[in-house]
Amino acid sequence: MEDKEWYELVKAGEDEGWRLVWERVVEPESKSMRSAEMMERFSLTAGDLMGMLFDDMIGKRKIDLYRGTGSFEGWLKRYVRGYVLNADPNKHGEISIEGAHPDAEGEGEAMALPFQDKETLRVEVWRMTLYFFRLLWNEDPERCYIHLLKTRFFLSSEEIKDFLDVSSAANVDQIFSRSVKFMRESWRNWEAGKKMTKK
Amino acid sequence: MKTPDGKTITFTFHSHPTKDMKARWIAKVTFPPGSTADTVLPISVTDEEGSPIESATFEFAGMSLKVRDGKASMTFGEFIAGKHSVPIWLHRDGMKPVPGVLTFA
Repeated sequence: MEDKEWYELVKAGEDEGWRLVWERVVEPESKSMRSAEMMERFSLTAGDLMGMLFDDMIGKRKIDLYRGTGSFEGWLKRYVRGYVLNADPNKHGEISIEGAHPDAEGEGEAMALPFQDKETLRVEVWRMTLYFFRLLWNEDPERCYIHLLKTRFFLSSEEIKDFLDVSSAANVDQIFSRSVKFMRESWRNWEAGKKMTKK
Repeated sequence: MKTPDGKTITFTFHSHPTKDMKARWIAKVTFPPGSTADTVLPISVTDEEGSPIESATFEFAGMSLKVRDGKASMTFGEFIAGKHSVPIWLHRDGMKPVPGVLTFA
């Protein structure tokens, strides 16, 4: 599959695209020498990385930042490595240049000084994600079950249809799409609220 | 209704944050591979440190389930019948009921 096609599938939240993300990006990175040891030390699982990537790409629309230049796989891997690096509690509030920037890879990019406390930001993102998930639960718990079965347990729409006794796989996709939209809008509203408070 | 063959799915529910750490709880509902309507789903209910909660009532999926030594159960059919039910509470004698919600754990 070509990068452009893969990108479109991932952007649309399609199972096929996200399954490739798991197979080509998250699982290999979680088993790599550089990440596996750190992940074990910081109690981070491949599922956590997948969840964080999904929330960033779909929930916060970071997928829109991909410009189509360079490998899509490499671009996604930089995010995943960033999550592993930022899980290090010793990096909390660190002003050192190396690795503190989530996009840091080459030496040139490593010169970028962090302008935010990444660890605090990560905790905040996680806390808010859980909060929005709770709001979603209050809308309809079935949406949360579908969200989790797709993003955490990687079930296909057909499997979820059988699991939750939903009328059709297309209906599963529709409910999932609504739940992603809900999470995305909650983020937007929250970000807008933060900006208003700053003013 | 049927869960996938060869995959065990576990949903984890956490209590909402409470000032009193002793009031916090974690419940895990497990769906064995290939579960059908009559399959009994084991549910574990523990405190934050993982110790089983001796006695309580777990209100979930529209049912009130008795918890004994950290264990409760319901059938898969009952779960599906209550899949739209929002309230989740753990009621313990001598303590205020504490609500909870599904998490990514």
